[in-house]
Amino acid sequence: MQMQSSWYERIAAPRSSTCLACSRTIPYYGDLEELKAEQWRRSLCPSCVERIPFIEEVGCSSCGRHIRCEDCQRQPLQQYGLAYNRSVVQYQEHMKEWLALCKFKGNQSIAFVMAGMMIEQYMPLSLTAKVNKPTRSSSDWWSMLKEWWNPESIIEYPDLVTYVPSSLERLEERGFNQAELLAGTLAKAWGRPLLNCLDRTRDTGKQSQQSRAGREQSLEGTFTWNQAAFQGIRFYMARQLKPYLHILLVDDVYTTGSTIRACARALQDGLRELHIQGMVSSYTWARA
Amino acid sequence: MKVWLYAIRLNTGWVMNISLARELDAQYWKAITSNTTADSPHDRCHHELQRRNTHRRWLRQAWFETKVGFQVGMAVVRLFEKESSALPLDHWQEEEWEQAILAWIRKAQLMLGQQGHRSRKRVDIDHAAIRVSSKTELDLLEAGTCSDTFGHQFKKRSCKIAMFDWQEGASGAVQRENSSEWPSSELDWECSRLSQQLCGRALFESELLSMLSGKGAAWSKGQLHAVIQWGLLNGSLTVHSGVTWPLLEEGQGSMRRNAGDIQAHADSAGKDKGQIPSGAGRRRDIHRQGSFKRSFILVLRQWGLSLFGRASSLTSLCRLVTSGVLRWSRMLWRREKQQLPYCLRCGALGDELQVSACESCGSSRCYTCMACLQLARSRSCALLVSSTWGERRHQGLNDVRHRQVYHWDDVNSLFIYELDTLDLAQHQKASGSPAESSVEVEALLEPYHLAPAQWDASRGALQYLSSRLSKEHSDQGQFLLWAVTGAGKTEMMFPMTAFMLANKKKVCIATPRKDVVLELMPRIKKAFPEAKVVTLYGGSEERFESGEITLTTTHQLLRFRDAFDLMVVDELDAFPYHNNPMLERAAKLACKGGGTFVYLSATPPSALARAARRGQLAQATVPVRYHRHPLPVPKRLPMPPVARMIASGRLPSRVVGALHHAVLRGAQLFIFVARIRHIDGAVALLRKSFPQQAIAGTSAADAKRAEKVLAFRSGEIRILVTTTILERGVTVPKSDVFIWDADNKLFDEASLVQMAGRAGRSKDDPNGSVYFGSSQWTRSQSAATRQIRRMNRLAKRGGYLLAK
Ligand SMILES: [Zn+2]
Ligand SMILES: [Zn+2]
Ligand SMILES: [Zn+2]
Ligand SMILES: [Zn+2]
Repeated sequence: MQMQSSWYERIAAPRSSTCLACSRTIPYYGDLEELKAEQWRRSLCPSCVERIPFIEEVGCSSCGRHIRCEDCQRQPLQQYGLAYNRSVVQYQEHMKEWLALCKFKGNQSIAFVMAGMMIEQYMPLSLTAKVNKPTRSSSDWWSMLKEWWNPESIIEYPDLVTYVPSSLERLEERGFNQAELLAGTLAKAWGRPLLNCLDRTRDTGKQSQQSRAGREQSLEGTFTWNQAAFQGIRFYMARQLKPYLHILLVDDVYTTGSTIRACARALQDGLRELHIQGMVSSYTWARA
Repeated sequence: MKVWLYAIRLNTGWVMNISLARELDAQYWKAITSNTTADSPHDRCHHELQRRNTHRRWLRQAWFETKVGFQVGMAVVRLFEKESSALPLDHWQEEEWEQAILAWIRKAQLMLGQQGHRSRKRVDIDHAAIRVSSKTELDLLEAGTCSDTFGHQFKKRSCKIAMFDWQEGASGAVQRENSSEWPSSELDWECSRLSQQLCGRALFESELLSMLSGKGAAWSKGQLHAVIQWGLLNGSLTVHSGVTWPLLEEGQGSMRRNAGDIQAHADSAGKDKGQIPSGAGRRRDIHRQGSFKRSFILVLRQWGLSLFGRASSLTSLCRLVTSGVLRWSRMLWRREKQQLPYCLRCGALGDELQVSACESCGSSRCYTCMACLQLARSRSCALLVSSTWGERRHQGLNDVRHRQVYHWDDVNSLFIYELDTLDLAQHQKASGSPAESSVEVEALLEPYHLAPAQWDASRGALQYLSSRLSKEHSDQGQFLLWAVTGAGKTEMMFPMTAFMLANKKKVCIATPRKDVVLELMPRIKKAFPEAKVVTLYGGSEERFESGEITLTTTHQLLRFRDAFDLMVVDELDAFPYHNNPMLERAAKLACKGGGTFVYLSATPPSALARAARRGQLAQATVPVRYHRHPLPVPKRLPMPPVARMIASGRLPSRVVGALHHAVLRGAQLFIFVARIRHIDGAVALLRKSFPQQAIAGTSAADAKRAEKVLAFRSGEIRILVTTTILERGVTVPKSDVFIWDADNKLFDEASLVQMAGRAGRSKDDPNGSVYFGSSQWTRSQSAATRQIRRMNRLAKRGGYLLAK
């Protein structure tokens, strides 16, 4: 079965890559590691890029859903210590496939693409959250002018990036935590520290098979704040001039928000314990 | 995943092992040393122990008290094998063990390229002055957590090494509460059952679990690990890294080592050195020892042979010189690649492996194979489990096979020729006494109503198979069955299959596409009602079944290892096979070391065809179709390029004339164009010239392709414009073939022959016509015509044609 193409064919053949999502042939883009985060589109084929259901209009200013939602009106996220959530895409069928490729098939390149999308969309999305704007006196015309001229310029990146931890058991099985991968890429792009602030004390089993009430119940006390990490935060705060801290909590998908709310509550507990003033917002790749 | 490491003093010496479940090791060695296991299958080892050392029956063990990544563990075992013989291990205490094992671990990490690499993510963390514990192995070691699984029986002087002596009768030595959880006899049974089910397979943990749950045994991961560990210890299972390194795979199958085996290993190793019988062994030598001289001589010899055979002119001489040099340099380059990791499942290396930090094994450089990701995730730290069930008798063979895994494909184009010549010689020798075998062969051919040409070719194939069976072979045999389009290849599979089944051998028929599998299945089942036929394709129910006949798509072959004696590869030049080294490697791995490949093709790849022509490859040709009429020879039809015809909006009268003639005689028309974008234009042109005919166009991009093909088959559509996508598979009884832009470089010799093969397929209309429409006569067109003429000539010479 010596069907090797001959050497000249190999040299002459144009190098090509395959689309990460659908394996179609696309122009060669080289090593994924070398690619900058903004260049994530190059590792996908045009039709896959086309089909990404970006959340262009934020329907719910609290949870970042593309339509208005009643949950947030009944129980605003602020109650749980979460300032707001933003997500990049709607969690549709083929986005689910992407996530499955990453989570279950273990294709970590997809996480790189997801993180690229998150970095690209962070500014426009966080502009829609009012809390992000620093409080200022109304007479500060210079900053008003600046805001009018370029609204993104007054938004600051979060001070710290953290992620929803996965249980040790699952980590051992998969070898990686996709939320950590996303958070790591974000932190690297922004030059912010990535910190594992939370511990997962137990595995809650398959979440998708539980009812809503069951989920809330089972998440009770699942996440605790990490003592060492928060000491680190205090150390970090001492060197900063800023009086308050913005922690960004990263996860892959926001379904009902129970996981993220539980995490935010644990983070707030930690902040309160150590007397640090801070805000926790979350940023996920997809929003159901 | 992570594993434990321990060294154990057997009567024959120290052995390093990995462990997935350390209670099981304790249980196993206890069972070995105590008398209670006389009835269990490993009494062989027990007797061995007894015979050799009746006065001293204790087992000293040194356990490393921290888990290490699986691949590191394997590498340490290798290092131990290489280095331990000179060390005074018997006098070592905890400290020495600790230092030595730590040094081996460091060395192993170095060899696997893990040292000093921290992912950039973590560097960024440092810059913010917040430290997150990075989970590399050595850090964990320094943290030095001591677990105390074995209770307090032994005194611990080192934190990382637990040492204890294990004496028979000293029942207090290891007392564990849960030791009775899974009795040894039951483990033995489960283990041999698993080993039997795994026979001829190589599966990852996740696949194993789904296989077991498919068979009604819902095991947890812990249970699976326990059984695998037991299997490792008693030698019925082996594990390897999913993505592995050449240095991990060399050496004897170290994973199946127990008290009794060690001597046997030593013996067989000694024998191995004495006589390496096969080409495979020779090949390995060349690769391993880096003997430039030998490889150079081999290349020279090979090249010199072809030189004398072919160098008729100066240009061909030059060509040969360059190709010789290139081959040699390619080989050197290959050898450099030897230390690189590769996927044990599909053989991928280089770009196809993705490196990442991994929490499962704690390595900062754990490789994941992207090429075979769709089947299961092959990682450096993933267990690829296979069984030794069928091969325990042929151990030497098996070991050679494993080392062949990754470098068979490229360089060997050199060596394979040689192997084949060897084979051929043996074949001729064996068939020197055809008296009794021919009778048997004729009887096998009888029931399948073969045409004379099919009959002769099948007889050739059967004789080759019987010559292969009559002697033990350690290399894979190859036989090319070159059958023209429409020769009835499927019928010729039957006698071969019947022959192998009669000899109690396993047969695999690999075809490129799922629909071919589904089409073939009922015919095979009907032909062999008593055999168990397993059909495998993406999404098939029988994924983990095994039977006498396996019908499969080529991708599914990745799950097999040393499984088949006969591998029939259908249409090996067709889509997924051609230029896909992964599938070629998969096929090689799935076939047994001494198994045989039979390639079926109407247009074999040029290298194979050349080897066959030179007599270096056993082959048989079926030069005529089953209806015994000659193949239609393509006619030349000068015409402008399709793009220009579409632009001008009219077909030249000569083309219309030829088409008109075909339509008048009531034939259906295949019109092949090179580009998908020309299809619509071509359809419009044809509609203008032939308004009464039902005309359609289809291509790979067409969602309604299946319906259109059906309509064409049923005769509703009279003219079908298409691309090479339909060059094989679709057959209509009365058809003519037009190839437009036959000079396009997308149409090579093989696809021209295949397309020409669409004409004249039925008995009632054997003389369909084929037109190569082009503005210039290219090399591939003339080669295709020459090939068809040659086949017709062969048919005439063989007397296969019907008398006029
Ligand atoms: Zn795509
Ligand atoms: Zn909302
Ligand atoms: Zn692979
Ligand atoms: Zn790993």
